Parts: sequence; structure tokens; C-alpha cells
Amino acid sequence: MTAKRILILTFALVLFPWAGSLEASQIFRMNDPQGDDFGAGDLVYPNRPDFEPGSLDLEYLSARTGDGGTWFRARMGRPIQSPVGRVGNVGAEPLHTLARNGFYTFNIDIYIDTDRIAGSGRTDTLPGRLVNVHRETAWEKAVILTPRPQVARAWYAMHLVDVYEAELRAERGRVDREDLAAIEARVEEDIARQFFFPDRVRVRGREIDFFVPDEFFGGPASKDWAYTALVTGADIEQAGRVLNISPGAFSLMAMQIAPGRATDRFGIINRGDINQPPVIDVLAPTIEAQRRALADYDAVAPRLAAIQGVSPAGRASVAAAAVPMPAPGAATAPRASSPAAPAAPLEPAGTPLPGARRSVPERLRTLNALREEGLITETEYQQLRRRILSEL
Amino acid sequence: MNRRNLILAAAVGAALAMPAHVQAAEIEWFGSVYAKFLDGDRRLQGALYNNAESTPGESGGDQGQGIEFELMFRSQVSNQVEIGGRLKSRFNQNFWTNFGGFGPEEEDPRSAQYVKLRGIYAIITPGYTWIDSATIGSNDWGMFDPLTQGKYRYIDRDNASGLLFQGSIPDANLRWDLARVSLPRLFAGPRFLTTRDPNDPALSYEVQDAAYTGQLRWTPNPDFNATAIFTYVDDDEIDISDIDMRDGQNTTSRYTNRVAALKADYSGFNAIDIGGSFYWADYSFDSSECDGNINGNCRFSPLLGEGADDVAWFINLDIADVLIPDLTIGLQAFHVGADFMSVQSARRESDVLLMDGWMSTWGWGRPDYNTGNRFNGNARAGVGYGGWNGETQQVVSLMADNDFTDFDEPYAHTVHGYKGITIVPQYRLGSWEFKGEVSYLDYDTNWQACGSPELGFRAGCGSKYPRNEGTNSWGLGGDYRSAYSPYQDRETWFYGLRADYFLDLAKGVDVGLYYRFIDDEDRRVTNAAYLADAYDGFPDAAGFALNEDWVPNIGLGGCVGCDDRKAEYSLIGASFGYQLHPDLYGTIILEQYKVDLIDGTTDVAPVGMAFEASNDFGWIEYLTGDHTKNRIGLLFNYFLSGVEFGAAVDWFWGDYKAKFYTDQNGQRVRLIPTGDTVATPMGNISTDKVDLEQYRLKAFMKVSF
Repeated sequence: MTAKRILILTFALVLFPWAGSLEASQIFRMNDPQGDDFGAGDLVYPNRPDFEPGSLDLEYLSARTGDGGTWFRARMGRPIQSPVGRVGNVGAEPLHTLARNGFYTFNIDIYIDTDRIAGSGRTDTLPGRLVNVHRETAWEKAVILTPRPQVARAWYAMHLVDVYEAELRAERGRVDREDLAAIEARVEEDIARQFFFPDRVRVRGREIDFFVPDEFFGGPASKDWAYTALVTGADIEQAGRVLNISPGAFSLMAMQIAPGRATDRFGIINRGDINQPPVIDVLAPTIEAQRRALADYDAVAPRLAAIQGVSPAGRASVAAAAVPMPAPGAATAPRASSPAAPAAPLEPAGTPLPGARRSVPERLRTLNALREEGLITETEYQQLRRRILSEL
Repeated sequence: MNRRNLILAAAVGAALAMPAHVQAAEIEWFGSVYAKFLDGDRRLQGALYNNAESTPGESGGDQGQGIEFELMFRSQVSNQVEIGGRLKSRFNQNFWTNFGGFGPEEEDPRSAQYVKLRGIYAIITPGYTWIDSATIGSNDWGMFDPLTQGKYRYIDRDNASGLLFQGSIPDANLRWDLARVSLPRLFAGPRFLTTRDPNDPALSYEVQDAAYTGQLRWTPNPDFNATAIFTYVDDDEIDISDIDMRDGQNTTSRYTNRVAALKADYSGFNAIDIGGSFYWADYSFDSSECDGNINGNCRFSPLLGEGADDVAWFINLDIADVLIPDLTIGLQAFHVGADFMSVQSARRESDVLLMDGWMSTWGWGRPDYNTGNRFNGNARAGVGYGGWNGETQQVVSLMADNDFTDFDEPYAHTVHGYKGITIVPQYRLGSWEFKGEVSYLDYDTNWQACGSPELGFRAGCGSKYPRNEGTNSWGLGGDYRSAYSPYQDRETWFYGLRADYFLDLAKGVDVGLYYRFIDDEDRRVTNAAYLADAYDGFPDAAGFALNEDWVPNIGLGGCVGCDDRKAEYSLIGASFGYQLHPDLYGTIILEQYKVDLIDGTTDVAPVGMAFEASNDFGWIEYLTGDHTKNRIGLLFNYFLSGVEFGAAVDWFWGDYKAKFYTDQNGQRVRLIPTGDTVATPMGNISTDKVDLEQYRLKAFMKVSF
């Protein structure tokens, strides 16, 4: 017995001092203010012991080179909850067999503007986030850290196939087998090129590391890119659509919100608006910047809040300046209890955003512009025009 | 459709997406269909769970197929009101169909497929500044604390109703919660009763039994938070002295329980997070309800049989990257008093300790090592030779609950009387990740005759400390809810090491390697003067059929070391996980368990043993010797178009070779058997090696909608 004890302790003592021998070089680190895990200002955590204030408070996002890719690291305000020992909501299945990567309470979406050309790229985010990315930092690549990456990816593919199938059916009145196969192939190609759902994940205390291979970015991550990072609560036993008896907007494994304090959703207090996005934290230079960005939406227009990405190097995009982040070691960002720091420049309220739903005349004007610039064909123009007009 | 169109379509889709909130007065419906398949070579039918044994009239099974359905609804009636609920059917017992007709099993609500309305609630958000919301109805009460008002387990989540009021004072960084929770009639009182006599209508009174909990949280800044909690539980009864109903009836308390807690966390240091919590519990109970016999009417009870007060505390430290980058050290020091009594503490699905605990110690497998008698009801109970595969959940409850569980679920174990320290280092090195554990446990329950050796254990322990199964320190084969042994002098060391590695081969293999070792020693009776009290010729119950071949050795012949117990548990294992297909993930697990156990001499059996040790009863077994168990496990998870499948399959095989010890000149010495059996108080034990094996499978399908 003593020999076994000595063996184990010796193993541990010999092993740990190897630290640092494989230390990778850091690409960037961007701090986020502490105590801003309230979304637009009124979100509160669900009535559950695994969600405490700080649980989903992103403190920093960093990246460092690894063997064949980039290791991202996010640090949260409290120790990351492990699924081990917990059960799911359906059938009491052990949660760690569903969420195998050591966490289950949150998603972190990172939308990355790699070309740094304002307006170039996508501005939409995954379903259920209910925000857009600011056109200034429109993205080309997205890294989606979620507790069940394969399932999330499959759900998203199903969702897109459904959407495109419906579109095609609306256009042609039917969708045949070949059409469906083509849609599925395109969706698969599109997701593979634009989205990565990390499944090499390591959790340690408040930190979570996730690996993105060079094949996805075409190399390691760059500090010159702009990153839009959103933290949402994870709904890992996503209600499916197989028997969707209450059709509604699809949400990809993101916890939604409810008035008061609920157990399965973020609550809203202070008589806050029910339509505020369920994004509880955003990588932003100041608390006020986050609050303003997330609160800048219009549920009637409708226009989603647009979140501007941040660049570790502070490099401006071609058309406009990105918001520089505090460098590591720079003055600490203000905390919730501190006086608000000067607001970072944000998209002016009321500006129509790509991806947001606008009035019919505005959409027709945009459509005309797309045709004049040669971005869509005449056939596509006519189809979309009919569709917009059909809503009158 | 080209890529540009795909992007455009996505943008159009996003543009068309409305916020996901249900509009006022609409009813949102959602739910699930869940099917479970069990197979195993124990060939047991019963409830569709591997373990369901302490519920009257119920027993577990390892075979069968069942399907259940739940339909949930909620509606935002107005801006201020949300209502919701759940319609649920449970499994039919073991068969796909109800072709057995409407027989007795189908009248059992645990197995009838009739849909039942459960979990009704209303959340009111009035919009006043002083209150955020009020929840009326069902709740799992997970917003409090595992040691005060604990979260109810999965299967009880709709069963506990009450009132919950929540508010905040943002300017003062305060949040408060107030709750009244109706007590579960089934178990939350001494003798598993919340009334004096459930069979006497004139005395039975349970409707006003409740727990009241208040919680105040203060978060002055993101680095610091503090919480104060107070819980008061009252089991109210009719005052039997007030027999005149014309002016109403007075009430008295059968028992009361008060628990106060203070908790705080600070994370303002650069590399150290520190947290602590302190709990005080006071419990009052009229012990006249108990007969004072250690094996009497209060033997099986989730609460103490006398009033008591005690404390519990925990200190946690997390040190990150201080000396070595990527090295984190977690520390926890803790103490849970033996007399700490909190009625509403969590019974499972919570874990109050950092340590992995008794995982890998073959907890309550009940494989029937000695006789293998299938007519023995207790041999058929439990989860079998393989035990539970899941983690140990360490709970501060004398009613740790493992009923209605499967072998792949966590296993709850009471930690009353535990005091110790745990160190958990974690370290990353390239594609490797390491985690270790060293824990030391001492026990408040290290006492002689429950602290009154001059009285002897029968009077010293009396009815105060419920023995329940009475096999806590009996180790292998022991029980999870027996916190107290009459004679104990025990300490335990735990060691664990786990390495996880990503093998960059094909799509990548998730490799896990682990080793765990537990050294558990108990000197039990430490003074020769008490031996006669402890070992006075078993058993402690009238009418017990003693093993006729065994000659009692009263007081073990004065040999103090002859009842010592020493157990060494080891587990070595490896797992390999691989994404076989984008929708299918598989894991193979290889493990070997060993137990080297010396549990006294052939004259030793649990102090106060009663009916349990009969060979036919099979509750307590002779287990001294070498045990080996091997496991091959397979896990699969498959996801396709909204339906999920999962499967866990295990094959176990191993053996048990009994060893025997006797006392010689006051010393314990090895006994070399000369015959086929050796007489012990627990029967005539075979000297042959016993081979054991088990196969079991659980698979599920679930569709959420």
C-alpha cells in the first residue's frame, strides 16, 4: 500500500514540473469587463444552483498557437459547471454522456471578420441569439463553442435545409429528390467552410480551452482580425422539430428568456423589455458599450441589435475603424460597480442593418442595388421582388 | 442554388425571424417521447430501473422495454403572468404493450401509462419594485443550497409544491428569496413519517407540515458575494391533549428543524479564489416516539431519533497558474458533524465534496458472494455485481436516495460525520491533461458505543442514531445511507490520477487513463473492556436463527485487533472515444477493480447485527478475501434528425477468494481451512473460489419536440 502511495505521489511530483516545456505562443488576449453578465441590462440567471452570478461572465478571450491549429481560451467569472453527476431533463440520462466535453451551461459564439473589409461577409448569427454582427465587422468565419458540437452542427444543418427547401418550394412549387440532395450538399459545404464547432475542449476551473485546426482558418488565428464573441445559455436538450406542435422561431441550443425568474430560461427583472436578446455577455470594451449595443433593437421594425466586433490589434477595417480592445496589462476595464466608462463608438440607433427586417420600400431599394451591382441575376431579382411584394 | 444565394437566403431567413418569444395568451406546447430498453443476465423483471428496492411493493429489474411520454405547456397569459405544467405518463412495467390486461401492475401509478397532470405552476411578475416574481405551485427548489433547502431530484421535480417569492434591491446589490415548501409525506420525518400515526384518523395530521426558507444574497462587486440562508421545518400535529373540537384543535410540533448558513466567495486575487460556508443545525424531536432499542422502531429513519445540534463547514481554495503555468490546485477542507440534521437537504443529484469519494468501491452491488441463492429477495435487489458506473454524489442526508436509478447513473452516499481535506491538482501538457486527487477522511463517528462506552452500545446508541441497513463501515457490500456504526475508529485515504489525451489518429481518439486507490482502515473496538459488549454472541434480535455450526467467541477472546477491518480498493482503467460517424460517437472502456479485504476474524460480524445475517436473508455477507472484477464497457450516442439514441453495455467477470482469520493468543492470525467450509456467524463460507459475471445493457431513445 505504501509503495502504491509513493508511486502515485512520485508520478505527480515528477510530472507537474514539466510545465512550460510545450508553452505555445500567445496570439492575443482581449479582456471583457467583469460583472456584465446581464445582457442588455435586465437579464438574470435561471433559478438553478448551477447558474450563479458570474457563471456566464466572460472575463477574457485569448488565443495561442497549438500543434496544427489555434487554442482559444475563455475565462468565466466562476468555475465552469461539469456535467458529471448530473442528469438531463428527459429520462434522467447522465448528462456527461450527452455533453462529453466537460461543460454544459453556455455557448460562446465567435464570429470572425478575417478580411477586415466593412460590409464584406455575413452579419447574421446563429438562430436564437437574436442579434446581428455589425456590418463594420461582418464575418467570414464562425467558431461555435457549444456543449454538444456534433448535435448543434446537425441541428443547424437541418434548420438550413428546412429553410432552403421552403424557399425552393415557394419558388417552384415543388422540391424533388435532386433538389434536396443539392441543398444538403450545399449546406454541408457552406457550414464546413464558414462554421467550426470545436470538439477538442478542455475545462479547468474557470477556464475553457477549445481547439480550431489550421484547416478551418487557413492558418492560425490572427490578432488583426475582428472578433465578435457572444455568450448565451446552453439549452442542451434542444426541443426538436420532429413533432413541432408549437411552431415558433428556431433557436439553436440557446436558452431563451422569460419575465420574472424561471428555472429553464433567463429571467427579466426591473420590468425590462421582453424582446431583449438572450445574449448574456458580449466581448466589448466597456460595460456601457455592451449595454448600448444589446439594447439597440426594434421589435416592431423589426431590427436586431448589431454587435460590433473587436480587434486585438485595434486595426481598422478598410472602410471604418474597429474598436480597439485594452491590451493585456492595460488599465483594467471598469466593473459593474464602477462609474461607466466612455462609450465606445457604436452603430447609430435606427440604422437599418443587413439581415434586419426592414420596410418593403427599403428592401426593394436594396434589391435594386444588388441587381445594379451585379450581385444577383435578373431571375433572382424577379423572384425576390415577387416575394417581397407578396407580403403587402 | 449557389453560395451567394445561400448566404442571401440565410440573411433573408434571419430578416424574417421574429423574436422567439411567445405572444401573450398563446399556449406553447412541447415535450418528449422517451423509450428505454434494459437487458441483463440477472433476468429480473420489476420496475424498469436497475435499482428500485426500498419502495414498498416495488423492485428493480434488469430487463424490459418501456416508453413514456410527457407533454408540457406554458402560456404567457399576460405581461405579468405565466402558467405551465406537465402531462406525463410513466413506463408500463416491463413490456411494450399492456396485453396483460388491466391487471394490478397497471393500477400502480409508477407503471401505469395513464397520463397524469403534474408540475403545475404560475409565475407572477407584478412589476412592483419590491418583488421580482412569485412562483406558486410545483418547483424543484434548486435556487437554495444542498444543505438547507436542497434541490429535489429528477423524479421528484414536480412533486414538491409551495410558494416562492423573489426580489432584489439593485441599489444595495441584494437579492432575496422566500419559500414555503410543503413537506413530502412519504419520507421527511422520523421513521419516514410526518405524523404520529398514519393509520389513526384522529391523530393523523400532515397537511400543514412545511419548510420555510429565506435567503439573502449580497454581491457588492463581481469579486465577492455572500449569502445568508435560514430554513425552518415544522412537522405539525394535532395536540392530543385537546380533545374538545368545539373551539377548534390546537397543534403541537412533532419535530422542528432549524438550519442557518453563511456562505461567501472571493475571487479578487489574481490567482486564488477562496470560498467558505458555515452551517448550523438544530433539531428537536420528542424521542418518546422511539422505543430506545438500537434495532427498534426508529432503526429505519431518515432523521435522528433524539434532538441534536451540530455544525458543518467547508473551505475551498482554487489556485491557478501560481508557480507553474497551466497548473491548477483545488483544495477543500470540510467537516459535516455527525449530529448535523437538515431535513430538507438534497438527497441526490448534488455533491457537496470536491473528492470523488467512494467511487470504485462496489457500493451496494449485492451480488450474493456467499450463497447465490436466487430465492433470496435481497440477492435479487440492488444493481448487481457490476454496481453503479457513475460518479459518487456525496450528500448530507440520512436518506441518500438511489431508488429508481440505472447502473449508469450517479450513486449518492451520505457523508454525515465526515471531516477531512482534499487536494486536486490539474495540469495541462500539450495534448495531455492530468488530474489528481489526494483525500484524507477522519470521522466524527469514531466512537465507542456512540460515545457512551460505559453504557454499552444498546443504551449508548439507543434510538438516536438510525442504523438503517447497519452496514456502513462494512465496506464492500455496504450501504449508502447507514452513517453510524456503534463501534468505529476509522480513517481513509483516497488517491486518484487521471490522464486524458487526444490521439491525433484518423479523426482523433479521446484517450482516458485512470487509476484510483482507497485505503480504508477501521479499528472498531479499541479497548478490550468493550469487546464483550460488542461481541456478546450474536444476534440482537429475538428468533434469529444462528448458524448452528458456529461456536460464539464472546468478546473475541479479548483480542482487540481481531475485529479490525482493512480494505484496499483499486481501480485501473482506460477509455477510448471516437467519432465513428458525424452522428455517432462510441467509447470503449476497459477496467479492472480489486479489493483486498480483511474484515476481522471468523468470529466478527457487525455489532448489533439482527436479522440481516441469515444466509437466506443475504443482507450481510462474509467478504474477507481477494476480490477481482473486470469490465468491458461500450457506450454509444447517436443523433439523427431530431431523435437521439444512447446505449451502455457492460460485461463484468471476476472472482472472489475467501480468506479466513482467527485469534491466537490475543492476535489475529491467518486460518488455513482444512475443510470445504469455515463456520462464521454469517454462515458456513466455502473455501472455493467464487466466479462471478454479469452482462447488462441499457439503451434509450428520446425525441423532444
